[in-house]
Amino acid sequence: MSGSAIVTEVIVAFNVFVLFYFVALNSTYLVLFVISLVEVLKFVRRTFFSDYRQIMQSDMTWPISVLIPAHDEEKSIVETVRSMLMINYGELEIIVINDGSKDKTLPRLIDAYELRLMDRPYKRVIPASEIRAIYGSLAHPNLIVVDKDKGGKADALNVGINLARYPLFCSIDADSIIEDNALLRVVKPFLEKPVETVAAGGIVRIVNGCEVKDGRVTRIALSDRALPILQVVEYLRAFLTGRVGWSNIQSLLIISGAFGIYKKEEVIEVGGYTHDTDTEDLELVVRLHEHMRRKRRPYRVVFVPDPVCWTEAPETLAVLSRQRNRWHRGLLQTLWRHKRMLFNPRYGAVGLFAFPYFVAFELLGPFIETLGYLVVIASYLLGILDVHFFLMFLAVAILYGMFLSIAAVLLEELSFRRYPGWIDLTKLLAYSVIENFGYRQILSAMKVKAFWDAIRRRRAWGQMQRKGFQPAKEGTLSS
Amino acid sequence: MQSVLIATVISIAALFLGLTLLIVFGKGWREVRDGSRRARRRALEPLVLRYAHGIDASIFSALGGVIARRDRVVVEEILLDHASRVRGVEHERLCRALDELGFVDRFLVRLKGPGWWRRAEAAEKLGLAGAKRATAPLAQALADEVPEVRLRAAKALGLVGGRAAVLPLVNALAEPNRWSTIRIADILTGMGSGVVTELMDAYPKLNDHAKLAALDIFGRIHALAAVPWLLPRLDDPAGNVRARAAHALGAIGVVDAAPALRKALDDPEWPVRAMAAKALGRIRDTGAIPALSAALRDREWWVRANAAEALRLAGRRGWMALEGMLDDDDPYARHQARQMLDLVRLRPPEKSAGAA
Repeated sequence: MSGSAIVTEVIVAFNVFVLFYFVALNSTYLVLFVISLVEVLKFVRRTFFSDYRQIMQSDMTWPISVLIPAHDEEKSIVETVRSMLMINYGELEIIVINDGSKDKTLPRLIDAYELRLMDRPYKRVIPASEIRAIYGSLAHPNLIVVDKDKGGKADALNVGINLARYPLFCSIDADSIIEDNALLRVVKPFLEKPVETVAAGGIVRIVNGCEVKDGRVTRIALSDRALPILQVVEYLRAFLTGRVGWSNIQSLLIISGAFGIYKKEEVIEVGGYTHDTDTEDLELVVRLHEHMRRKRRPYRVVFVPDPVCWTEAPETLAVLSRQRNRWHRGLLQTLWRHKRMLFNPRYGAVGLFAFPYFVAFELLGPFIETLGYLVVIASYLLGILDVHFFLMFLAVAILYGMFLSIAAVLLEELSFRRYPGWIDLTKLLAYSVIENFGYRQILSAMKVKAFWDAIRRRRAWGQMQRKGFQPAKEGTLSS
Repeated sequence: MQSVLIATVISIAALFLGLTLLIVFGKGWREVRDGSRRARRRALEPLVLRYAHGIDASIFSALGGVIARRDRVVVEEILLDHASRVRGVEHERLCRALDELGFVDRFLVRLKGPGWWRRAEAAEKLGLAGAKRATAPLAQALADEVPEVRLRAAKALGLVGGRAAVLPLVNALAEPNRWSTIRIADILTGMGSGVVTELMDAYPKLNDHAKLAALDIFGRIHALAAVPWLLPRLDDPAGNVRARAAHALGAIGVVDAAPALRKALDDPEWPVRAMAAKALGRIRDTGAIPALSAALRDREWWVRANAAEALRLAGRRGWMALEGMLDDDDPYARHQARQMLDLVRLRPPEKSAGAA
């Protein structure tokens, strides 16, 4: 058999593999969408008459320690803390951990909240860096700011856990804004099933384009720039049709670091956040799954689709690339670290469904997609490309991508309707189509590079360039 | 193969277009419907309020006789909206209108319907409508298979009120869903001291978390009548019960409970010690100052923090005790004392009978 015949055979075999892979991937997406549709509608009906005021006032609602790790967050930290101070919740303490910021993060906090040095003894139940100083607020007794040497986000969160007084802690990114009732909504699973619930996360939305005043999102709108809107569509798909579905089959592997609540006792049991992964939030949730399954304890990790955390999204491809590079490296590191869970029935649905999905589709998907494009070029050069078949297949792939994005927008329209205007809806619909021509391919390429970087053991923090929140115009009404 | 692909392309394209149209027309239809309802509401609301204020004798005459089918939703919305916000005669008139216009009957039918969401909604609306005749069906709905329906029925029973509603609600505290228990406890608390006897009678039959909720309710409604019943709970074999009983006694604030609470400061379980310290602070018991000072050296932060707070609340003698702890050998005790004295300087506690 000649060399070109062997190449042809390999390419044909790869094409058959891609066909099966494509069917499997999209069938999974479809199943997740159907589950999510049912769950989201059920959720909306359940919360139709919610009495959050009574829940807030109830003595029986669990108190929460809110942990905000901050590294060089001078542009947004004051607003983030202000949004937390104004949040509707009965009893909570806010612990900001300044992780060796070189900018004015700490001075800004000291000025804004009248901080002064204080003593606060604590048990170091999780190994973490030394603390330089602890500040208390004269104006807000439930706010403390911890200053420490730079040790990374995981280390900062571990310091926060050591200082936290309450049985639940909530991790929040320093560039995020939490909605008024978000804590009340996301704490509900802990109140419903206090023994089983170990972690719960809420939906993260993109603040670019919205107006922010006094730590509150006062007007919701989409950005004028393309990249944030593309990410809005992507986030809707990931949260509304992904995490809702995984949560329903008790296999949720990700709770966004931007907004998640955990039971402190269980997190301490597993040793807190780890320092040696790029996505400590994902790793912690997977470790909780592994720990609870191994101990054969009933547990659940819940995604609540309504609580909203607003966060700033990258506005340039360079920053987006760094962010996605870090996320994908973190995914690879986490899946590799817990590889024994793969197809292991001991870990239930997590081992049999979620883990294989994340390995086959989330981790390797971009790699296979990129390889597919290269194979198409090779096939064309070798003269074995059935152009008609290729174009039809491409049409199916693109249309299916558009269908999934539109389905996510539909879920949003059926349920939460956060973007009320016709212009925003038109933008969402248009970008559900546009994202399939370039954006997805660019993301795949970024992830392939991340794969390569992870193999070469390159690590970088994927520093986000913050613009800070867009202030509200004078006279803007609350949304 | 290609024909399969063509069929797939056409199907997905049709699905995509279908969803897009669904989104666009759905939004359009919603906006038109809401706009129309707002317009009708602007027209009908003054008429309903004329009846509510007693200007018109009957809701029918206020609305000009027969209500058009399309207006029924709007009228129902107006009546429920105002009934949830007003009290007294106006509330009674609005509730009567809901009954006279047949809405209550419709809610009662829906309460037994097949859709859980409809049942939950019907229960909620019956509560807002203050429909006394719905007490028995709502009590039955407390046994519904769906927690949301049970919770809405409990809330409705709380709004409807009356003694007939108390016992089913007390029994409903045994709900397996803790969230529902919290809400039902809130509802019973809102009903005030009228629930004390039923709670004490039902207590032995309640499950563990319902017992804890019951103890909390006594504290929250400041049930003086429950104090003699609560004191023996400080010797209950269950630590949780002892802790909640201490908390309830502190919330009620009866000085007679102080000796038993001082004894509870030596309880082997720290939540009991923490709650006893908190309760003694609330009672402003100066007799407990030595024991509270000793509790500043407790191994558990909550006990130390509550003891320090109790000393702050005890007035000058408590503050002197805190100053005395500044030289203590125990660094945690010193820290608590220092922190609390800082707070005394910043925010002196309000004067009370117990403060020296």
